[in-house]
Amino acid sequence: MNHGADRVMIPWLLVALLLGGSASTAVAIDRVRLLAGGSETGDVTRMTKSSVTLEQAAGRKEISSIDIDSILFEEEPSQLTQARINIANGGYATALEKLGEVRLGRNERELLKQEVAFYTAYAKAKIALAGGGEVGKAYQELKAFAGSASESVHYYPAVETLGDLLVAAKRYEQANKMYAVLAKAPFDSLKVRALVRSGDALKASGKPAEALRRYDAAIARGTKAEAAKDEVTKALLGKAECLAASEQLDAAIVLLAQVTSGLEEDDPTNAAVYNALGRCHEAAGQPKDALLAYLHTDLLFDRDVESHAEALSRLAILWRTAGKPEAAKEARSRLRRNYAETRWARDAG
Amino acid sequence: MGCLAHPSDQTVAGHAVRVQNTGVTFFSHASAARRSRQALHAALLAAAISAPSLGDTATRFVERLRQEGHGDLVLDYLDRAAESPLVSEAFKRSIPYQRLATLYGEANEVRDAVARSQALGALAPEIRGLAKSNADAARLLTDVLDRIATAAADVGRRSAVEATRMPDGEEQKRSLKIARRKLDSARERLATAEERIAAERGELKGVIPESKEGRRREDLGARLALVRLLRARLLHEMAETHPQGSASWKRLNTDAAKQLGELYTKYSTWGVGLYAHLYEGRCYRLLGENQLAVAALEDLTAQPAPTPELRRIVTLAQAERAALLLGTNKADEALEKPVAWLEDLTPGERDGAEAATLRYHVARASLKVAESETGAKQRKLRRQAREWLGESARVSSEVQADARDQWAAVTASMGLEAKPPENFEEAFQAGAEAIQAMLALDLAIEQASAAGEADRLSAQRRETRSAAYQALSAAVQLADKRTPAQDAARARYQLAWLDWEAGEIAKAAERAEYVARRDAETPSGEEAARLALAALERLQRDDPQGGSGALRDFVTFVNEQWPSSQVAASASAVLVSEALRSGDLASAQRVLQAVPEDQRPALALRLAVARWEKAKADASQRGESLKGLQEAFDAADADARAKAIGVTAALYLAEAALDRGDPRRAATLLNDPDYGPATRVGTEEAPADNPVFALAALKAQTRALALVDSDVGATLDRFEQTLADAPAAKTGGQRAWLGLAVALLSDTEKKPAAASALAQTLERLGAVEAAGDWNTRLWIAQARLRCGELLGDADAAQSSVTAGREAFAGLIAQAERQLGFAPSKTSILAARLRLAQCERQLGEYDAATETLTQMLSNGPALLEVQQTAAQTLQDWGVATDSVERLEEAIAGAKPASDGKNVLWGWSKIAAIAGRYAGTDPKRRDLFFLAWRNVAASRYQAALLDAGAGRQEQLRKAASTIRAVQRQNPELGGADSRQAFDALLREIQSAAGDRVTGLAKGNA
Repeated sequence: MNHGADRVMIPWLLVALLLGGSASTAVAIDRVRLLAGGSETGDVTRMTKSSVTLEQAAGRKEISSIDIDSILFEEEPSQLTQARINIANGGYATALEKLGEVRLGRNERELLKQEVAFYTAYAKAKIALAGGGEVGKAYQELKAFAGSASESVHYYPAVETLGDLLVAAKRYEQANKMYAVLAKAPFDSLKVRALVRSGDALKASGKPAEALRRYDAAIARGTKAEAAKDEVTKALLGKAECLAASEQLDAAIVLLAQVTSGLEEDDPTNAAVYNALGRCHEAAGQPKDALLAYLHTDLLFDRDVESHAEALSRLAILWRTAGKPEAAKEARSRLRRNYAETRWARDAG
Repeated sequence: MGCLAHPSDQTVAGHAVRVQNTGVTFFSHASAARRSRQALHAALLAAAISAPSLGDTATRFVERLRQEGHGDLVLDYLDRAAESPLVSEAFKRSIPYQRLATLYGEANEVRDAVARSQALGALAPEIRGLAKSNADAARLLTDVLDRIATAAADVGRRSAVEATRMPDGEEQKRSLKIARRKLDSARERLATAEERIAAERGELKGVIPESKEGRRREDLGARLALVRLLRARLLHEMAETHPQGSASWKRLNTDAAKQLGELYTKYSTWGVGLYAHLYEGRCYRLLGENQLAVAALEDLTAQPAPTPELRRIVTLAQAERAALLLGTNKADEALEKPVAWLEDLTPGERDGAEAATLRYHVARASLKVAESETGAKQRKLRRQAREWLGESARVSSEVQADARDQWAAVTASMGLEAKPPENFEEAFQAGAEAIQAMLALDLAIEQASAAGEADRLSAQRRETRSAAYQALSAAVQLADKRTPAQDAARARYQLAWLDWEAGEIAKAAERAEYVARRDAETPSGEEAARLALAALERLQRDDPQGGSGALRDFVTFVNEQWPSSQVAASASAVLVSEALRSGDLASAQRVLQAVPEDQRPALALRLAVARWEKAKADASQRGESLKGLQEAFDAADADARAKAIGVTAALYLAEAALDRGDPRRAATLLNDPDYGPATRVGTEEAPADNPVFALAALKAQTRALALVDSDVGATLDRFEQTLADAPAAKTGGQRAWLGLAVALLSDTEKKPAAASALAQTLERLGAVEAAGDWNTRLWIAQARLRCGELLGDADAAQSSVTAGREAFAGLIAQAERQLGFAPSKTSILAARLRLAQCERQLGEYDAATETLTQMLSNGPALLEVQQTAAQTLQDWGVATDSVERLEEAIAGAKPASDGKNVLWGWSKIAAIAGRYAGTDPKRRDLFFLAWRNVAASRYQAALLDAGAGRQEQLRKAASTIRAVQRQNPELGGADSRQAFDALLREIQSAAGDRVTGLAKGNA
């Protein structure tokens, strides 16, 4: 299953379904959309947290959950289909509205009920993580889902998000326990991701040395697995911040240079790198250098919403430190105008 | 490869000219020209600076910094880039060039031509050096030389203009000589630039026009033309530094005309060519070669002018033509086509420097024609001339100073010539003109730059005001029943206005009120009402005892006369404000009842806010006034809430919500998009543009977040910024943190989670603590200890308590060193007790016990100290699994020389507290606490034992509770009883008995 449940893409198939209206009804099958592109159709007869079994005319086919982008169930409500698209585009509030309109009968397929329950809890969690809702309530709802659907392909995404919510609530120890559950997934990329998330939690709790060990472990493990390439990059960024926090700024910058050297100029990861550089300089008490780093994101790599919003929120403070209150005001204004729903905008007040 | 271009715009005779293949662009104002040049320059600089690799991050970053106007950061970045592993080697090699290009950009931004020239000149040698080995730098050198030459031309021109305007004499001769030298030098620099541009352009011969090199070549071509135009033009400027008609003057103007004519021939289809033709015409005019001048100017004015650019050049040609006609005794004709052209200009064109130049010349023609006229026609012509001159004097152009002088002269001469008005119309007209002249003089004073000019203009303004006053006074006297009512009212109103602006407030109030009441139906009525309100309010403020009856009566009149109008709203607001300012809320309330209903909610809100400010500290009035504030806020409409008073009310209501423990209501109020105080802090809008208000809003926001356990970091950062940006005298400086901490400490009583925010706030109290007195420092230390007790995060708690311990230790040490630092010995004892509590909290039981023993050995046996000592021993026992310590917690420790324990332990504390339990509630609480801890210590000791010993201890623990219960069945109240019950259940469970808690005992 696509573990980044909110990947920003609109599957052509979903669009076709939306436009065609009753396309799914006509075909009367479940469709498993694959991350690598294309889809498989058939009847979903079995689901575990790590795979989906599809009965096809040619026989039975098992698809690993790590390869799945999404599953469209036969005759699923159109609101559910739309909500998935909204979530993929970061429109969590709209998704919730759509999901709220879904009416499932008592005898509806259990898988469909799980689907609605997951996306509802997931959207609420994402809203809470962005500062727009209560973390505690979102946690309880998602936890209830994970408890009742431990054999759903959504289980691992739910576990990861639960960890994220615990981090947001500053319950770092519990968050690490949650990530440890994620690490038990039978997929290298998730194991590496669990290590990275755990490192992030430790870093956030002010334990850079311990975080560094997790990042190193993630790098060591992830380097062997092609599927974990993105996670290795995140681990390298996290490691750099830990080094900076341990007064090893030069080593941190060398590490970040290593990351950028492998990136194309238009790779959105550049934004994450320069934000990490900004945080490193801030940790080292170098506000002008931090300002220049965040400005890279603002001026060159502003396509990723989360990274750009973060950069603007920091620039809103650093410009003032640099004696340019007008530029600070302008950054804050852009943050509020363009990214009002992000946690960065909410935190900026 | 790229190149560093600069905009092809130059200043020619006060008009910025940008030459393009498609035409000419004039900037109508020098400052506008500069702004535009700067913007264009930044864009071109960013676009044109060459890149080692087009996709290189560092190159693109530098470009974007420049585009966004952050050129000042580029040098900082380049310094860092030299050593950064994130930057490519190719970019590092380009850093010397990038640095010079940046410095060039900065130098180009310098407003003052002299300073700009110097800054550019200082850069030239280094660029020249780098240009030998770097093609980009070679191009940069072309640009720099061009800019230096242009700046030098600016300097020379300005110097020449100033010198020619000086009074005749030796000083002027010297200045003219210097100006000539500067103009000579500028021409040499322009020649160098021309050579350089031509050479580089030659190297680019044959390149593809659409390529970057092609665009550079095109740009260089335009600049070459401009440099040549400017160089020829400077000959004319030099001519003007010689006496008119002198041989040098003739020779230089002749040369200028010849060169400008050649340029026109060469560039006749370019804007620059048309300009050359224009100035060629001027030179011929000055030389008296009128036919040649007419030919040149006719070429320009006769051709179609379909674009704004061409219309501007035609406007200047019309100005030249008017000057030429005036010089050839055809002033009448100068008032025909040139004036027709002037009147045909679009509103945008009328504000331009070209139009100002044309107005100046036709005004002179008008004055000339007026000389041959008499009476009303003459006056009309002179008035028209003065109007044109006044308008011309307001716009920056090459004739601005002359226009200002001429305008002043005409105004003065008109005043001298003025005869006493014979009727109302004459007087009224003269008054209106004089007021217009005053306003024009105000503008001229603002723009005056030459030494003494402002003084001269101010003196002139005083005379003009006097003339206006006399004329209008006469008008008022001459008004009769045939006079149109609105004109008579206007005259009186203008007279009142003259009183007001001269500080004659009482007279202004009287006159304006008269007009407002008597001529309410005329257009001047409402204006006069406004003036009267302002004057009456000022009088009331200056003399509060002077009776507010007049103001109140007038407000009533205004409300009746112009109901539901803006002036009526202002009137009511003035009255309520006045009552509020005087502190007479009852009077304000009465006023409120009298104002029209539609204005009442907004004013009621003001009153409610004032009432709350007065009553909030008074518990007996607080509830009532808060209710009133809430009602007024609810009744006010959206507009009123969005005003400063509404935002202030929202803040007060939010603070009240926080005080009653309702952070969600507070957050809703604080963050409302329309009137939220915190929202306003974010947008820096009123009233949050006042740092005191902003800090109060941020304080409330911090509390609201703290009470729901949300992160306050960003809000505290904003608080810090606001403090840093505002003068300490206004905000109280760093002590503002103390106010926030006090509120948060109070909030921890409602919600312990607020301790996290308190801890973060305490971290920022370093400066206050360092400079604080005993009480401040003691409070901070105690707050740290309290924080440590409340914080859920063990690390943070330890950190806070450690800080508290250090603070207490520091206080005690200073008190011992510095006599009188602590207010009393008791204060030191209290600090020692808190120190011991910190030590206990940190698990430093040995140190805590030692501190407490010393206190009790050398001072009175205070119960609070004994309580801390017993608790320390008990905690110590639990932490180290020591039965011995737990026994000491019960029975006492540290025997003194008389054998009695210095630390009493819980048993003795219970006995002593019991003596006073009947009369002292605190000791009564302590009595039950002590007995509970006796039982608890026994229970904890039992857990460390085994077998019979364990059972015996558990039995004793249970019996202790039962014994206390028998004597005091209520066990000290609900909370205490619950604690006893819980403890007994644990004991029963550990003993393997049936778990019944206190219930069994009751049975």
